[in-house]
Amino acid sequence: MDEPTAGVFQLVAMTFGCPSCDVTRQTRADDVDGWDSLSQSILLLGIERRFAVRLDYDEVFNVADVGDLIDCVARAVRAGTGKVV
Amino acid sequence: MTLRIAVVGNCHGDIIAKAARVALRAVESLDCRHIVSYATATDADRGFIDMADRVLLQVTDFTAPNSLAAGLDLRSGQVGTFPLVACNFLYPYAGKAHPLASASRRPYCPSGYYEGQLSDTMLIDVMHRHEDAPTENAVAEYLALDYARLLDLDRLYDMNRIKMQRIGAASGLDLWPRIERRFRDMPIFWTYLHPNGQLLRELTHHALQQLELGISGTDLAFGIASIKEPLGFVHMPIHPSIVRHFGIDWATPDYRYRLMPEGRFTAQEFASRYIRFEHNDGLTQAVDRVHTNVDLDAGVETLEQERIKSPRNGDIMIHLAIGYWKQGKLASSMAAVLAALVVDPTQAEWVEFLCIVARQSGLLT
Repeated sequence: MDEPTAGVFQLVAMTFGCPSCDVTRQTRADDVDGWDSLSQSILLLGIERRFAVRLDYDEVFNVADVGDLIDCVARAVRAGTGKVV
Repeated sequence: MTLRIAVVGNCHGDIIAKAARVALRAVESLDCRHIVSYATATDADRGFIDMADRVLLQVTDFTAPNSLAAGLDLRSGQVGTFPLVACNFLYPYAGKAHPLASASRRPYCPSGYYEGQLSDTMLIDVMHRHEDAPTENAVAEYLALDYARLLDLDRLYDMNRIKMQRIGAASGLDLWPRIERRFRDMPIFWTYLHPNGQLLRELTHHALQQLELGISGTDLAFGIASIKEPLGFVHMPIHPSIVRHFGIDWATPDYRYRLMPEGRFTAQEFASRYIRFEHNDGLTQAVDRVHTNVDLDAGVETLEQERIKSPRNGDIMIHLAIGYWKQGKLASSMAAVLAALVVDPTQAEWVEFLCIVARQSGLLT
């Protein structure tokens, strides 16, 4: 498993208090108890801190599932710092 | 012919629907319903939306795939929009209920005590770490936490701003400038999802105009004026490190946050009560009895006893006043509402109720 994938799975599990083995690329907010707009903000801040990136909020606010989120993180990591908003 | 209006959204939608009923009171046959967007929609809800002459739809930043918005043509003149207003940056760790909350659910307290909006994950963590220690130690540790070291609060603020601006652009009403201008000077949110009356009145004004039903200025003003502080009954304390970081002037350590009907508490007292899971179930039930007319006399009796125990609690007195009024005891009701206003003269709803009782008592014509 590549670093963005493993890292995002772990952060999702930590943020929402669920086992990381339950998190997959197909996991959607609806599937996770307590994943709402507020807790998603905390997740995004955790991702930015862990990967030392600035995420493009225009992108991440529109993600449909964890897989999309991982792709955003991977793009930001490749770009160096992501898009500074 | 019945005019059907569906207002789809969270608690903001309920307030808009109530104001719409007031503004459109002259319509001979009106069926205006609030459809809760975060609950599972029933077939009846979907059927009502399909039949509605007008739909007001809340724009959020977090739309579930099974959203009620699916299938609605947002460009249609029959569909108006209004924004979700939230302040995540003031309550970054809210959302997760007290571990005992679900077990305390009652018909008169459906979410249980200290539900998600009145909770803080950091406080839960500290509470668990200090299970065998005195409560004061846990409270001291919690209040000493520095959220700015745990989170990039400025980034969280930016995230909140961007979300609100996106929602504002999509719904036609951006309330962020007002939030940004005022949050340091006065409480403009009671919880992270409960804006104050001022924001709700602006929101409702926008929503009612979106109906495009030719509501007159007077009727619009009447509807808006019916909104006082419908969500101000419980005020979640802001953590001291958030207060410091953002320079929130009004939230001093001795500021007392309202926790209806139990009283008003400082952030420190709130944390202590939270850890002890302190709540007055009998009082909550009594308030419910008065409002639902189920065992009204027992409700009034409990409130009379609670009033003696907490003579500075205006919320108890106002509910007692309502109970007496329902029992037809106008003089007692008048005395109780006046006593409530002595404790807290800022409650506009209480003044309105005083006028009703005074008029029925023949003191106002």
